[in-house]
Amino acid sequence: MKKLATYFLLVIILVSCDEDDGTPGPGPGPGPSPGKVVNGWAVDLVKVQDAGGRDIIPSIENSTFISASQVSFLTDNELVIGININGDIRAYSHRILDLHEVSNETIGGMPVTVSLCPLTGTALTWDRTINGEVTTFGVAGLLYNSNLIMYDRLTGNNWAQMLSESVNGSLICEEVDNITVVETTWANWKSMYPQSLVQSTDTGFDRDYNNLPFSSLVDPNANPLFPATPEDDRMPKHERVHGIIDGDQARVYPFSNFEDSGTQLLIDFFGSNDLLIVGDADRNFIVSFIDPNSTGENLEFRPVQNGGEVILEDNEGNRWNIFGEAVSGPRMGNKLTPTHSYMGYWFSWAAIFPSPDIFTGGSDG
Amino acid sequence: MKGRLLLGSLAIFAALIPALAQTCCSGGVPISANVGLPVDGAARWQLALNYDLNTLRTFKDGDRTLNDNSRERKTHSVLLSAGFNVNSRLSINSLVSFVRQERRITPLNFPETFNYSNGIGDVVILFRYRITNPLNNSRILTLGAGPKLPTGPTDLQNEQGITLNADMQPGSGAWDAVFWANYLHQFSFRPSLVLFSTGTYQSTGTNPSYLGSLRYELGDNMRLDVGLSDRINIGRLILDPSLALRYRVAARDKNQGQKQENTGGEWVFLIPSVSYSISNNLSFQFSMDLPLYSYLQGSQLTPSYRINTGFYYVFTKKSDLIAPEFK
Repeated sequence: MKKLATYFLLVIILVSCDEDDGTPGPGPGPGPSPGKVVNGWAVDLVKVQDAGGRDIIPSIENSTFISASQVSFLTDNELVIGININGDIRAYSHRILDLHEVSNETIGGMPVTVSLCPLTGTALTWDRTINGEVTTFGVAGLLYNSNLIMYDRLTGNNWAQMLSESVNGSLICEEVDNITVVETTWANWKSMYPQSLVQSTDTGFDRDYNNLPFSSLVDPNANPLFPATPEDDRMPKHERVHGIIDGDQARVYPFSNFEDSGTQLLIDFFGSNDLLIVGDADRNFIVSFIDPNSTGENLEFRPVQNGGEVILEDNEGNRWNIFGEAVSGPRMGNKLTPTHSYMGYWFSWAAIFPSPDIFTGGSDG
Repeated sequence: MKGRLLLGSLAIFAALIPALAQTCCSGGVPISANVGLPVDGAARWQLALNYDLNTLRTFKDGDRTLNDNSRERKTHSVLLSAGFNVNSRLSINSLVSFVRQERRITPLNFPETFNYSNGIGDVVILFRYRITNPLNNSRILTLGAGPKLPTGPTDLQNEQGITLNADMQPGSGAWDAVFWANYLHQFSFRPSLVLFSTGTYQSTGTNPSYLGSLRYELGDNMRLDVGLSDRINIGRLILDPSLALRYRVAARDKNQGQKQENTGGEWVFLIPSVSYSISNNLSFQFSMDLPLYSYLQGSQLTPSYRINTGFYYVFTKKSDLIAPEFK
C-alpha cells in the first residue's frame, strides 16, 4: 500500500460506448467522449488530423539517465517534467521530448509512458499496464484537436493524450491510469531534487537537441499550428494554465492567480471536491490536491516559502512536498490525493473541454 | 540551324525538369518549372509528357545528415505540358499534373506504415515573351510570367476518413505567381554548344482552408539553373547531353502568419541529362537531380534523388525545317 501511495491511480472506467450507425451526426462533440461512437471513433472524426503517420516521430525506448549535477544541456528557465514513483525521482526535459513526444520507461518498478504534446503543452505519464498486460506507446501520427494521439503497440488502439482514453480501437473509451507529474523550470527542479536522475540526450537517436522546433509557441499570443475548436478568446491561446478535470468539465488556474511573490495557496471547490491549489509564478509551477478536510480531517494548510521540495505545512507540523507527500511531521509517509490535472495551453483546454471555468479568485496564503 | 537550336533548346528543357513546390517534408510536385518548352517558330504546337519521381529519404538538420532512414516520401508525377507559340516571340504554356504521394515509415523494431494519395495536381499557365530578335539565335532571352491555379484537391482522406496532411495532398490550395527567365547563348566556335541559364521565382499564395480552417503559405522560392548542352552524333544517333547546376532557396512556410519551424532551406543540385532525337519532331529525354549540398532550416527530409523522363513532340510544318537564313 505504501508503494501505491507514491502515485495516483485513476480507476479504470469503462464508459459505455454505443456504436452509432456511422451516419454523420452530432457525434460526441468536441469534449471528452460521452459515450457516442461514430465510425469507430469516440471523438468527432472531423477534429482528428493526420500529422505524418504512425511513428513519424520516434518514441524513446531506451533512455539513459544522468545525475542532475551532470546536466549541461538545459538552461535554467526551460521546462522539465518531474516524476516521483516509489521514491524514484526522474526529470524529462521538454527539449528532448519535443522531438520524441513519447518515452517508454520503468520508474520505481512501474512501467510507464511519459508523453509530451508540444502543440498543446501537455505532459502526462500513464501506467502502461492495461488490463494486466504491459504495452508500449508510440506516436500515432494523428492529432485530436491539435493534441497528441498515441497508439499502444499491443492492441493498436489510438489513445488521446488529454482525454487519457482510447478513442479508437478494441478498448475504445477505456481510460488509462494517470501518474502525477510536476512541470516546472529546470532551475526549480534541480533545487528541489538535486538527487534526481535526468533523461540524457543519449536517446538512441541522431538528433540535434539544440533545435527547438516549437520555440515560437512560447509566445502566449501565438496561434495554434493545427485546428482546435471551439476557440475561446478569454485568454491568450498559448498561455500556460493548470487544468483540473472532473468528468467532462474542467477548470483552469492561470499563473495570474500566483503573481504575488512566493508560493501561494488557493482553496477552491470544483466538481464534488474541495481543492488545494498551490502555485508559484517565479518558480513556475502549479499543482493541486483534494483537500483532506473534505473527508473529515482538520488541517490548516499554509504555503511554505523557499522550502525546496516542501510547498505546504499544516497546523500539525506536517510538511508536504510538491508531490503531496508528507516528508516530515506526524503524518510523514501520507500522501494528499492528487487531482486529475496537468498543465497545458489555454486553447487546448478550451478545445478539448469546451467552456472551461477560469479561476479568478484570490489566494489563501 | 534553326532545327539545331530547337533541339539544343530541347536538351535544355530536358535538363531543367526540376521541383518547385512544397519543401516541408514534401515530395514536391514539379509544377511550374516544367513549363519551359522552347519558344521557337510561329503557330507551332508542342507537347511534352513526362514522368517525374522525387524521392526524399535523407533526413538532415542544417547541413548535417542525421543517421535516420526511417522515413521516406515519394512523389510520382505524370506531367502533361502543352505549348503554343503564337508568333516568333510570344508563347503560351500550360502544365497539368497527375500526382501520387507516398509516405513510408519504417521505425526500428516496429512495423512499417505506408500511406498514399492520388489526384490531379495544380495547373500552371505561363506566358512567355522572347525579348531578343527572333532572327538572332545566338543569344536568346525570354521572360515569362503566369499563375499557378489551385486546381488540385487539398482535402483527400485516408481510409479512416481522416484528412491527410498538406504534404500528402496533390494540390496546394493556393494561387501562386510564377516569374520565369531564360537565357541561351550559342557559341560561334561550336554552334551546337549552348550555354543556358534559367531563373524562376515563385511567389506563393495562401491556402485559406488548410486543414479546414487555417491559413497556410508555403515559402516563396527561387531557383537558378546554369548549364551547358551540346550535340553528339554517333552514326545516325543524335544525342544532346547537358550538365547543369541548380541553386534553389526556399523561405520558411507560414502557418497562421507564423513562420513554421523545420521548413525552408537552400539546395544545390547537379543535373546530368540526355535527350535523344527519335525524329525531327519527337525526342526522348532523361535527367537526374543529384543533391550536392543543402542547408535546411531545422530538421527535414530532403531530396535524395530525382529522376525525370519523357517525350517531347513538336508539331512542325515543312517550312519550319528550312532554317530562316535560307528562307
